[in-house]
Order: sequence, then structure tokens, then C-alpha cells
Amino acid sequence: MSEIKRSFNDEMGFLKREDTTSYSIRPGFVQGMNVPGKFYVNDQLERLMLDELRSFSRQSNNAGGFLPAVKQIGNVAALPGIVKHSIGLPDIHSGYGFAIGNVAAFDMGLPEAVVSPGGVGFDINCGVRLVRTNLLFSDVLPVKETLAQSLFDHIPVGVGSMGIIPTKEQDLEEALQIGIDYSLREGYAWPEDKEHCEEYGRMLNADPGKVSSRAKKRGLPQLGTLGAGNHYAEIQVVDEIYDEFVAKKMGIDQKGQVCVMIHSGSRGLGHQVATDALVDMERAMTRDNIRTNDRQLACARIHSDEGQHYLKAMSAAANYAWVNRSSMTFLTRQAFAKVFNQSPEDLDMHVIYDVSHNIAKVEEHQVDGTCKQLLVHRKGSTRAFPPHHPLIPVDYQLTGQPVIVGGTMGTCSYVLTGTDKGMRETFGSTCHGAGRALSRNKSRNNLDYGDVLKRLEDMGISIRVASPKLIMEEAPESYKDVTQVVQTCHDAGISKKAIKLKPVAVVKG
Amino acid sequence: MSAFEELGICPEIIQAVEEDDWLLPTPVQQEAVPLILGGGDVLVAAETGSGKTGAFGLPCLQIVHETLRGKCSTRKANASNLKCELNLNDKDMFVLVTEDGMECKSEDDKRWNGIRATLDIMKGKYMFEVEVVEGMVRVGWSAGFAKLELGIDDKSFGYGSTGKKSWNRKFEDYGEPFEEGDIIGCMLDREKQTISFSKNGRDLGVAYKLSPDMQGIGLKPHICGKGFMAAAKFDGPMEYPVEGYVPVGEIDPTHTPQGTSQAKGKRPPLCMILEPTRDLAEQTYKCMTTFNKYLDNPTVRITLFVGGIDEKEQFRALEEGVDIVVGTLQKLMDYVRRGKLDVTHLKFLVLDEADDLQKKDDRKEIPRLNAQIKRGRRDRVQTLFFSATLHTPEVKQMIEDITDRPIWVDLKGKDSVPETVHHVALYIDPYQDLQWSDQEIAVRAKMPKEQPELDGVHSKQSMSAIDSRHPEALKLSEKIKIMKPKMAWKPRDVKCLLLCFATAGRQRQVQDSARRCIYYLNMIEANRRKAI
Repeated sequence: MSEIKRSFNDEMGFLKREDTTSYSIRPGFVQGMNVPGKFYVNDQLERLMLDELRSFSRQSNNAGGFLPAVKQIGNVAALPGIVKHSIGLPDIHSGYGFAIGNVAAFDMGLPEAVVSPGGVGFDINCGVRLVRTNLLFSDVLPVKETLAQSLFDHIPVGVGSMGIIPTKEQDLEEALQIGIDYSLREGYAWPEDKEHCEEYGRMLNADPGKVSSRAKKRGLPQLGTLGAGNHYAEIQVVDEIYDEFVAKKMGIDQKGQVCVMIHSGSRGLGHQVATDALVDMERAMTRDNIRTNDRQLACARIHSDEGQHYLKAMSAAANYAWVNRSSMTFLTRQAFAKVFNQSPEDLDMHVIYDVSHNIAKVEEHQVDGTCKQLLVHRKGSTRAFPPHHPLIPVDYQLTGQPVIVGGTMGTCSYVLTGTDKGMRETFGSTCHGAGRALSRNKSRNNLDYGDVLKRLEDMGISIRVASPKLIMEEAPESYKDVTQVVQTCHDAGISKKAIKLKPVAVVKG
Repeated sequence: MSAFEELGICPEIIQAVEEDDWLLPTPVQQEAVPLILGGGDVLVAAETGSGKTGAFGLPCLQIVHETLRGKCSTRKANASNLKCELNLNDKDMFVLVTEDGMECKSEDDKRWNGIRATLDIMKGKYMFEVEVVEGMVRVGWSAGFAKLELGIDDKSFGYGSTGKKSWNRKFEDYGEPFEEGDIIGCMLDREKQTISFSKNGRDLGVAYKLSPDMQGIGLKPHICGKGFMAAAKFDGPMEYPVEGYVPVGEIDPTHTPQGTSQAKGKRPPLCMILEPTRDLAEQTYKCMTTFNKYLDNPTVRITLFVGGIDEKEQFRALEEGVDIVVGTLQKLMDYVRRGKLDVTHLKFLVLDEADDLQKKDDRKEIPRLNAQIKRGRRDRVQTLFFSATLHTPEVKQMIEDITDRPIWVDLKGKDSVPETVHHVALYIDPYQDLQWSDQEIAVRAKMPKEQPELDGVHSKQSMSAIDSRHPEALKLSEKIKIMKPKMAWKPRDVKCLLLCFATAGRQRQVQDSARRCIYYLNMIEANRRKAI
């Protein structure tokens, strides 16, 4: 990049506060912006965002590598074929190429429009699923430790762990092809589960043939495993209900009701698909003469071979992630059934909803008064469709799509619903979680895992972790305040708060 | 943000690898790096050339650097790092010690044989207990350089089962005799500079007051005896605790030279990387140096230890302090044995190409080295195995012996190259051996109209003589065709047939192979008849 370094004040000249919850970024902030940028922050989150930019503008020119999230929003706005805005959600933080918490939509009708693996992320179709029970906190409290242990014993965690549900190569092919229908057929999922998944748990354009054998090799033993990093399975209780009607529709009728949240993705397979595509696309970029501001923004035209290849492989990886979460739901149901000596059906362990927060999808949106087919990249961002949208399940037609926002270990999680305003402003998208405030490496150095564990214990949270030192990276201190993030989305009107949950037991890789 | 940052790697290392054009982590790096940074023992099976060196090099370097900066929370661990146990290397030949360094015995009932523990006590008030299991025993304290027969020189102070205290070959009455089953407490007070003993909790009074010239000399727990067996107890809680005295096992590190050696500015290595050959060691060393490029405050010192390099140079490096040693097992083991290389502060042991390390005569060396490293300490030594395959029984055994709840990162999968090839000769008589037959197919075979369509490659226009006599054979050929639809050779030309099947020893595959054999033999037989 040969851009001239600007002072922080000059940089701020390109940013404008639109209202109490949003900023706009004027083209020119980085070179070649096709559309303006936009990001949602409130007063507290604003500071984090701008501090990042401030330290960037102080950095000497050759200290390469680090780009603040605002700059990344700008670089994405410079990609060919982007429409309306490059959007940053309140939980945004810098990521590979695209910032995590960035939404960008590209016009399928334009031949130069691109798809970028960086806009999806490495953990394709990483997502959160919320399973309800008819238990109350008082039922769980006496057996909390047993339950946490049982969950830890049932769900294979860790990077290297192997799934306990037997899978062969043929199974993997089918899982990649038909997604949750595979779990359904094999008896690991309930028919109702499928109903309550985004895309009904299956991307139709998936093509396992486009997934490299290397990716499959990584994926095969990991099917049905949780994975390390920010992935977790958490037992939570309903802490607050903001909207009685919506909560009832989701089967939540009182405070203290116990739910289980599962956060996982497509493991090594998704990572490999992304890596393969990034390498692939570098070649396509030279051929098609596509220029980007950042080397990490490797992309290819949607209709080129590389673009299609990636979309098909990505869809297959997304299917894998749904099968993965379904397998873990199955194991969770088993763990509960054993501890409470009741069948999962009797415990009413239905999936409330399953959202994906790292994915690119073809959707129809209104752009300047006309309906257009767009490829919406959501990286660290959740789809949040409004009430009456045809793509959301019958049960939620009146409430809007449930959006599950997983907080960090030891804080709280939320269920939101989609709104019409969100549909207009953010391509029907909202935040996905807390969003990192410290890089993993910084958290390692600033925190002590003993303290973190102690604090969780003091809060009455049972915890089971496979690699203790990793929890420093996942400690609440490393993240933004999820309550602020959710409140910003609520105030901005891009989604609405429905339920707040707080954890009582955590299982992590 | 680099993709490596997502794994938790620090910016300095990222910058170094990015300059080498490592923009995306390889699968093995992506899976293994967070686990290693997470602090567990990790076993990695991945092909050569898949980025293994980076997978252990980056996180090891980072943790070593973090440790040096003192930012990683290791200080607490350091305090309780010292472990007191009977020292295998500081005993008479006839004394045998158990693995945990807590019990000792000697069958020699002619001479006195002794053994000392590992820690020198310089300050504070400490005690240990000895339970007499059998024989004549003398217990007490001695300087590290005193004779191993307790009480025969002026640097050791003993109390024997005959009810005598002994120092400098002087045996004087003290306390009372003790025998099998008694527990003797040995107390050392370095504040008042006294030594006293107790029997089954009863204080026997001060035995010795240390002379001024002994006061600057560290004393170690000492047991000696004739045809004896005794169990020492260094860790609390004591059987009969004495007020004011702390068990030796819970020593404050500043009270012993063993605990303060690090504070003296010596920098013993924190990470040891073992390679099977000199070439590999050099390669790894080069990689590590590249990764290390931008790490400073303090810099991490990496040294290569292989044969054929000037030893003086290497000794000088060791004097100055080394943080990461890369080398061949032989060379490193040699230095450890000669006491040149201090392994007591090692945090990482990396075995690269672990199966190669196994193949040579090193099989016994690794556990020995491991024992050396882990002796006398409480903190974990993170042990990492990296190899193309880790599935041989020998490697598995070693893994079990020297790791603690390891996590597998298996990118190779189970279908790795087989370790062994078994040659099996199986004689089959197609006329007799019908164990593979299946009633249902046999019935179908009798109704020619329902025959499956033939594929033209192994054309059988009509039933051959064998087939008509053994309709079961048809079923077999169908199955074979499903398994292997095309055959490139013409069975008629075959005089001698060597059938090779790759099976991984699974029951199913072996059975299938047997079926295929029978089929091929059938075909050959049929074709030969046609030819005649």
C-alpha cells in the first residue's frame, strides 16, 4: 500500500457521527472506495473503535500487518460490485481481510462483482444454536457439577479430538451434500430441528466435489466435535424476558428456565476450504486484473470458475457445520437425559433456533427502490430477517427471525429478533457476539488463567476446559461488553431484544 | 490482521514469518499451535513438508519468550517447583531406590551404605521423617561432599538405631534405640544452627549444635544403613509434625541453592528440541533463528548442538546462557550426562520425527533423558511429539510413558503407510472351498434369466463348466465386479499369479481378498480349459 499517512484528526475528517448509534465513513478514507462505509457504535464502544484508529495513525509506516477495523471497512467498500454500504456492527474487530462484524453485499447482476473468502472467515458457518428445556434453575442447581461433567464427557472438545459418532468417508460426502438432512436420516436430529435452522440446515448449492481431499481428510475425524478457540457449549438460564410474546413463541415462559447454547463451526474442514480458496483466488485476481487495497482481501468474480467453486465448497462446509452442531445437540440431549433420567422429548429439548454468523448467501434486497439479487457476506454477523419474511420459519412469522447472540464465557447471552429497519439498513443483519477487544496474544500476556477460572467459580459457573491456558484468550476482559453491543443494535433498531440468558456451566475446548 | 494472529501468535513472530511469505497457516499449524499455546502435551501426526517445524517452533519460541519476560504466569509454579527426593546419583552402589525417590534399601549387611536427598538446606527450619522398615539404620543430615557413611566425618550428623548419635566417628549415647516400624523425625534448625531428632513424635532433644565453620555449608537429608530398608517422607503432612519445622518438600526456594540458581543470572535452557539427524537439526535451527528475528527484550538465545562443531564454542554458549537448544539426541544426551547442560528448568521437550528417534538405538535413551529432566521438580514439562506417523507400538508406548493426558492432532488419519507387510500364502481349492457361498445367490444363479448383465470385460457368454457345477461362483463374480469393475489383464496368458492385496488388517478386507482370490483362480481355471 502506498497510501499517505494521515494524522488522527485528518482521519476523523472522513468519519461523521450520524446519530447516537452510528457513524458514516466518507469515500476517500481509504483509496478507491466505491460506496461509503457505516458503522454502529454507542458512546462506550466508540472509544474502543477510535482508539484503534488513533494508535494506527501513530504507527510508523513500516510497522506492517495491523489494520484497524475502520480501515478494513473502508478497504471492503473499495471492492468491485459492492452496493449501498460496507457495514460495521457494534461488535466489530479486525480480522483477516474483512473485519469480524462486517457486512458487505455484492450485486449478482454486475459481472465484476466479487466473492471473497475473507468476507466469510475461516470458520465457515460458525454459528450458535439454542436448545430449550422445560427445566428450571432449581432443578439443575443440585446436579450442576454432574451435569457439567456429563456434558464434557459427552461432547468431544479440543482441536485434536475425534468425534464419537462414527463417520466414514461416504458419510462425510453425504453430510457435505445434504447437511442436516443427513443428521435427520441417521437419527441424530429431530425433524423440528431442521425447521428451526437458517436455510433449513442445508445449502442447496453445496457440491462436495469442490471440497479438496485435504479438507475432507481434516474434516472426517472432527465431525461432531466442538473445537477450541471461542467455541463452547453452555448451560444457561433465562435471566430476563424483554418481550413476553416473542419469548412465548420460542417456548420460553419464565425466568430461570434452563437452555443450552452450542457455539461451533465447520472445524478444520471449513478452515481448509477457506485456505484453498484464498490461494486459488490470488491466481484469479491476476488473471481478471482485480486490485484490492489489502492482500488479505483475495477475491474472485462471483461468476468466474473460482468464485463458483468457492461458493459451492463453502456451502458444503456450511452443511458440515450444521451436521456438526446437530451431532452435538444429540449428545447434549443424551447427557441431559442421563442426568435427569427422562427422555429428551419429555425434557422438551427443542432447538429454538440455529444461526450462522460466518457465511455468504444469495438474497434478495431492495436497493434504491428496486429488488436486486445480492451476495451478502456476513462475517461475524447474524442474519436478522423481519417478521413476515418468506425465508423464516412459520413459528416465527409474527415475531421476526430469532437472533442468538452468544456472549463471552461468564457474561451473558441474548436472543434478539429481526426488524424491518434492519432489513432496510443492514441487509437484515445484526451483531453476532461480544467481539474481541484485545488480540489473543495480548490477552495471553495480560491475564492469568488461574484468576480467570477463580472469578468464574466465584460467579457460581461450573467450568470444564480442555486447555486451561486458552481461557485467558476467551476471558470476558478480552472482549467488548456484550450488553453494550446488544443495546446498540437495539437502539439503532436493527434488531430487538427478546431474552437475556446467563450461564451456569461452560464446556470448552 | 494476520491469519496467524487468530492462533494467538505474537506480532513479532508474525512479522518474521510474513517476511518469509507465510501468510496462511498450514493445517498442522492451525490445529497444533493453539493447543501448544494452551499448555497441553500434544501429539502430532502429519506428513513431511506439512509445516511441522513451524507448528512447534512458533509456539515454543513464543512461550519461551513470554517466560523470559516474566509475563507468563509461571512465578507461582516456581515457588513449589523444587521437589525433595532421594538422589539416584548420590548414593553407594548397593543402595536401591524406588522410582519416586522415597524408599531405599540395601541388601549388603557387611558395610554401611548411604544415600542423600536432593536439596541443600541453607536457611530456615526444616524436617523430614524416616520410617524404618527393617535392618540397622542411621539417619541425619550431611553436606553434599561428606562421605556416604553417615557420621564418620565432621560434615555429617547421624542418629542410629542403637541409640547413639554419630559425628566424626564419635558415637555417643543419645535418645534411645529404635527398630522396625519406628518413625524418626530429623529436624534441622538453621536459625539456631542445631540438629535434633524425634522418635514416634517424642522429641529427643538437641543432638548437635553446628560449629561456625559448618554454618555456611548446606546440609542434605541423609539415610544410611546395613541390610536395611527405609521409607523417607519429605512432603507434608508429617506423621508427627514438630512445631516450627516445615517439611523439606515444601521448602522456600530462597533457602536452598537449588532454588536460587536461576536468580543468580544463569540461564539454563527452557526448551529442548530433539532431532534424529544432524541435517534435520540444522534445518530446524535455521527455521527457529528466522522466527526469532524480531523478538527482543530479551532476545531468545538459540543454540545448535550436533556433532562436528567445535565443542568449546558450544560450551561458551552454554556458559552465557541458552534458552532453546536444538540438537541430536546423542549430542544432547552426552552433554546432559557430562553435566554441561542443565535440564532442570526445561519447560518444553520436543521430539521431532519421533518415529525416527525410535528406530535407532535411542529407544532407551529418550526415557532416560526424560527421567533426567523430570527428576526433582513438580511443574509440568510440556512434551510434544511430532512425526509423520505415531502409530507404531514402540512410539505409542513411549508416548504413554512420558506424556500426561496428551491431545492428538492426527492429520494423517489412520490410513497411513502400514508399518509392516505380512506375507500370507493361502492355498485354495475352488472345487472344495465353498465357505463363501450364499444360499440366496446360488438359487438365483440357477435361473439364468435373472443373471446380471455382464460387462464385456470378463465376458462369460455362458456358464463355464465350473460355474454350472458351482453356481455359487457366479455370485462371487458379481461381487468382484462391483468391487473392481475392470481388469486390465487377460487371465488366459497367466502362468503364475501373484495376488497382492493391500489390507489394513481389517477382518472385512481380508475376507474380501480371500473371495477375490477364489474368483481369480476360478477365472484362470476356466480360461485354461477353454484354451485347451
